[in-house]
Amino acid sequence: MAQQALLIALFPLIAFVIQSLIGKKLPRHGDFISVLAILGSLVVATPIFMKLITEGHVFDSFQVTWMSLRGAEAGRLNSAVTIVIGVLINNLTAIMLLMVTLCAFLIHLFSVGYMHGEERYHLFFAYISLFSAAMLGLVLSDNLLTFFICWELMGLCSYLLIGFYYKKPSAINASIKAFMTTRVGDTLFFMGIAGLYYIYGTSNFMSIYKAIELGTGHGVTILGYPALAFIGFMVLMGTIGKSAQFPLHVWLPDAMEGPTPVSALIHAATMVAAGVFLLIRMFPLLEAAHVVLPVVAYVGAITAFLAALIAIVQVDIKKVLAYSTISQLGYMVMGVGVGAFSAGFMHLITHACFKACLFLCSGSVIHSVHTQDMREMGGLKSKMPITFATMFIATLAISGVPGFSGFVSKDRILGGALAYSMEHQGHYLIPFLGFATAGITAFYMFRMIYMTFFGHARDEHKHHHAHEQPFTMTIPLMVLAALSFAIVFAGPTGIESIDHVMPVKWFDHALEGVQVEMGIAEHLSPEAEAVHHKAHGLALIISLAVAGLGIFLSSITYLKHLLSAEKFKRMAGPLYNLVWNKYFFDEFYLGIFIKKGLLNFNQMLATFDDKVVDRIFVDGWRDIAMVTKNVIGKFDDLVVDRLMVDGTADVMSGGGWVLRQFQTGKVQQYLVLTVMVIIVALFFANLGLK
Amino acid sequence: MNHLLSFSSSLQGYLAVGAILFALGIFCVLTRKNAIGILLGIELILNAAGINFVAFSKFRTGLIDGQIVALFIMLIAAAEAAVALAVILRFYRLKQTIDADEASILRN
Amino acid sequence: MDLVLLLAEIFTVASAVIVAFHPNILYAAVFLLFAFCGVAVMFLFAGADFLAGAQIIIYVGGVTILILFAIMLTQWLYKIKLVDIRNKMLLPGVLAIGIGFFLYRALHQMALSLPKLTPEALDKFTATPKTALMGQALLGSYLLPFEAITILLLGALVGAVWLARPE
Repeated sequence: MAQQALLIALFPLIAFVIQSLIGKKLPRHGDFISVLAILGSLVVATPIFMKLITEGHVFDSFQVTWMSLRGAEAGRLNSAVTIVIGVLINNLTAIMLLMVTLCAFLIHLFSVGYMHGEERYHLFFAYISLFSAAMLGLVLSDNLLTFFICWELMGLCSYLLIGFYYKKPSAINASIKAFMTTRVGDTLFFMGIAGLYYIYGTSNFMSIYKAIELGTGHGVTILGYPALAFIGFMVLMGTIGKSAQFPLHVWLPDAMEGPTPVSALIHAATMVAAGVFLLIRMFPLLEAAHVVLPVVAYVGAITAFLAALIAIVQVDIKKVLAYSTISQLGYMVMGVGVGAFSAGFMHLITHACFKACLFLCSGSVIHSVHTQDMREMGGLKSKMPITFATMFIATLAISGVPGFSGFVSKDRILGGALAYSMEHQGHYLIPFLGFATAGITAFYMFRMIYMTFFGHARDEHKHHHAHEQPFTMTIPLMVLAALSFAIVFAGPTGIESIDHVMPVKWFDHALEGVQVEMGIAEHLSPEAEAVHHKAHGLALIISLAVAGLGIFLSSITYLKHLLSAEKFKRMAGPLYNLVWNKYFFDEFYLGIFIKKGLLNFNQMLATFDDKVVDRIFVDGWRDIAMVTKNVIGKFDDLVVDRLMVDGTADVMSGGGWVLRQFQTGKVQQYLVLTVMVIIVALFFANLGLK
Repeated sequence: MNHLLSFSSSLQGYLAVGAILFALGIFCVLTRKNAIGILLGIELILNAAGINFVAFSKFRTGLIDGQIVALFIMLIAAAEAAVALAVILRFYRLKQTIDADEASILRN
Repeated sequence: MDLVLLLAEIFTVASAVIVAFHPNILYAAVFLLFAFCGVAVMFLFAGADFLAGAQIIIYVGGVTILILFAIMLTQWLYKIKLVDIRNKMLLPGVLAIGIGFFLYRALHQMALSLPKLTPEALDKFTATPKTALMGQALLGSYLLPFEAITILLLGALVGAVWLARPE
């Protein structure tokens, strides 16, 4: 099974090769090749998933030796490092594979309509094929080395696709910003992998789990830090870069310069989720390192809250979704951080479906009205019924309305966070931020829906031209909307649990299997069980209440206009300013590292010039200067002009002349000098000998 | 005479020949105006390096690593000679001379 | 046997002297050929049979012939041009002697610091045929440099052809 699974990543890779070489000459610029390739991946991935559903558990893997770095001749160095790579199929992989291939297939399909007639149409498909191959390769990897290779390939594709409209300077800047920002995290992540090789000599996930279960690696240090904590933090940095977590979140909103299907595939459903996937794969190590998990939780919670606040004030429909993505990724990271990693993973999957749907809907809207500014939309409900219906369903899902997928996964994360804060006194900020974010999410998502689809048309011309999209674009919307219902994830399967004779929920069952593999199966004490039960009950009530409150506030503000958003804006004043400018993060980075330091220094010099030099030296000494004018005049003429000014010039030209003598352009004279230097060096080296 | 014979077949003998060849090569490179003459000097230098490697390989390590490196030196020398002669021919076509001092366009 | 080696060394050094000092570049190139032959004999005595063969094939058969061709292509054979006008010789002479001296000194020190082989081991090393060993080493632990060299050679040859092509 594992060998066949390689085909999943291979199909898009072949499509990429064909597309990049001869794509332009093929009929339809070869878009069908990419679509068929990813469809092939989907067809191969489905049986693996069905096996998980029917049997409750899949596990298969195979390894090949990539290279064996031996010592030199005659066995003088007997240390050998063997790098083994391979494929790991377990429950996590099966679920991820289906999610990625399905989302990618639908988005490919959508792109056929959306990108129709664009310049470099064939390259677009080449890039997203390569991206799909890399993402699927990452999911299939059984070790961090190939994982990292695919991770970097995805970064490259992200860079290429953000800068796809290469004639727009903003797109180029955004692509460079995305690439460089994620590079910070990637470099540290690679150090983490090196650390893993250092302490375990392997980066195979199963070997790592086994080693951690045995307790090896404790007490080893890297650069003076405990090795496990070091690796944990480095892995976290990788996630922070890739999943756009605070404080490296700045690239994701700018990445919206890319085509909308790209935003849906890369910057919502898959690549940014890869960071969370990494945390989940490495969860046993993070847990063993103790100090890492609280940091993970706080990073997630802070990201979720800050990004959600920014999303409220955005007017660009894609920017709202981008900040919402950052915020939801924050949820997932928080979920992993508080130990509810199955909830985090579930949110990863549910979020991929509904956020891809939202992005594609926004793409459909943008394609129709040719603007991204929500202030120029409005009243599109009747014009684009299918887009409206699907987007509304996805919005209900992300807002956490019962019956939809987002409710299930988000509620579990919040429950986990609450339980965590109950168990560990003093971490109340995490669930607080979580619940606040839940309310804010509902608020801004409904604001977006109301501004886009409800009310009157704010731009008559654009409204007039708006139209529903063809089927290739609406079918993906409908499928993704259908996946936003809770029953898809929380529903039962045919398998029956052993002790209860009732159908089990397939997702939980699959994740329990993963926990057993990782060696972190939970054995809760009755008291802890009670705490968890209580926390989840409480979380259910609170999250329902805050989501309801968010939707209610949004409705009376943007639908009924009982409250004026403008008034709030004025009331909030500086706070609004802060959020509108995204907490000045871009300015901070640009400013601190590039401009601010230099500018301030210049400012200081200018002030010094103005206040000290001008006032005191120039003005103050004017009188004295008047008196001694003649003396100074003479001095000026003789000493300054003759000696200093002319003298300086003479020295310079003389020095130039001297240096010019060495610069003959004749190779052999240079060689003579070189040999002389070597001899001098050898002479001093020889002094050391006896 | 016996003394000279034992010196010549010792490591020091090889090193001495290598050093002399090296010095002659450097001298040749530094004094000849003709670019091909410079190339001759470079070949001498490379051969001197090869002799040293082979000598240490025989008299000290007893492994063939030194010979492998000498082989690599030989191959690089061949590649270098091919490229250098192509450059010289090109230069000759351009300036009708192969005087190395004439190759000073970069100065101005 | 040692006498043959001594003669080969003297022959090599003498040829190299002519290479360095002869005013006629054609003579210098021909004596370079002799110097290479002398080095090949020295290799033979150092137990490097394969290397001696390679030295003959590559240097004597290839590089020197190439150089002779280049001389003939760029000089009017029977004109005074063949006589190389020399730069000043004093400073280069001093430098060359200096660098040769220091090089010998440094290598000598290094030779003293390394352990010596027994006479039996020396004989055994000299007597072993090296071709098979070299082949195994080149395709074994030296595979990467070997591959790199092949790419370098290919690049050099393509580059040389490109540089020397007619306009």
